[in-house]
Amino acid sequence: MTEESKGVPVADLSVEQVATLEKQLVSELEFFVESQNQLKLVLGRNDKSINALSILQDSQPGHTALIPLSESMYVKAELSDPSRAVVEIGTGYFAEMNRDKAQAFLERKKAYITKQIESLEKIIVDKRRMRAVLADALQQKIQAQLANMQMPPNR
Amino acid sequence: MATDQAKFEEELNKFKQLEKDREKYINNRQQLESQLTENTLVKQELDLMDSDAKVYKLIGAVLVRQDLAEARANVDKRLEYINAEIKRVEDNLSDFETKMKTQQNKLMSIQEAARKKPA
Repeated sequence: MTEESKGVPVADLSVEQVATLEKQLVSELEFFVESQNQLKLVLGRNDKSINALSILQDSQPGHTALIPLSESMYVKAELSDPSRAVVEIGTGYFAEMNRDKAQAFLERKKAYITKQIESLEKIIVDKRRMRAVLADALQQKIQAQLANMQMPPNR
Repeated sequence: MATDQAKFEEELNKFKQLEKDREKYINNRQQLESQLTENTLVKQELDLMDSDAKVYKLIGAVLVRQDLAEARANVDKRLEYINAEIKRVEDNLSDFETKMKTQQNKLMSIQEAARKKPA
């Protein structure tokens, strides 16, 4: 969208300006890609929670499960009330909810994260294209300058 | 010539320092921004909850039961604080912007002067 307004004056910019612009764009791009990766990790974790909850969907009190106390140690436990779950809602807050509410919450979170990932995707594609344009312009400018320097010997 | 060079380098270092400090503030801002988003989400969730909902706060490795009203008040307070912080960092950043511009102009004028001398 800003492509048009940015695309025109690029030709008028100096090599330094284009280079700075490109550098800035690269670091922005890195930031967005990193954010997106992190969101994907969170999405995966959220899906695991949704999955776990659906396994407990119609379990009764007394349902047994192996509960991980660490990555490599489990205890056999009986669920006293599988219809309720304590869910993390962020910044260290947890809330006890019944199954439906917990599921609704997780789905809400999933929708939110997915939306964020999609909007980041759009930005990333846009930035990549802009970067390609700038890199091209920079290359051309450097070539032109080199040619200029070689042609007239005094300057 | 040599002093010009030294002067230029000195100013250039100042410029680089400004750049570094500015980056720090930008990172700071990004962090605040993500905290703001997270707290806003928590607030939304807390608002969706029934008044008798059980809310826990993670303190160290323990979950401590907290009043819903208290949790809401805490999140509100934190949102207020984060917004104030963002404004502060924002002000600092625009400050840096002007400082960097003056420094850049200084650098360019030194360069210009150096270019004129030998000719």
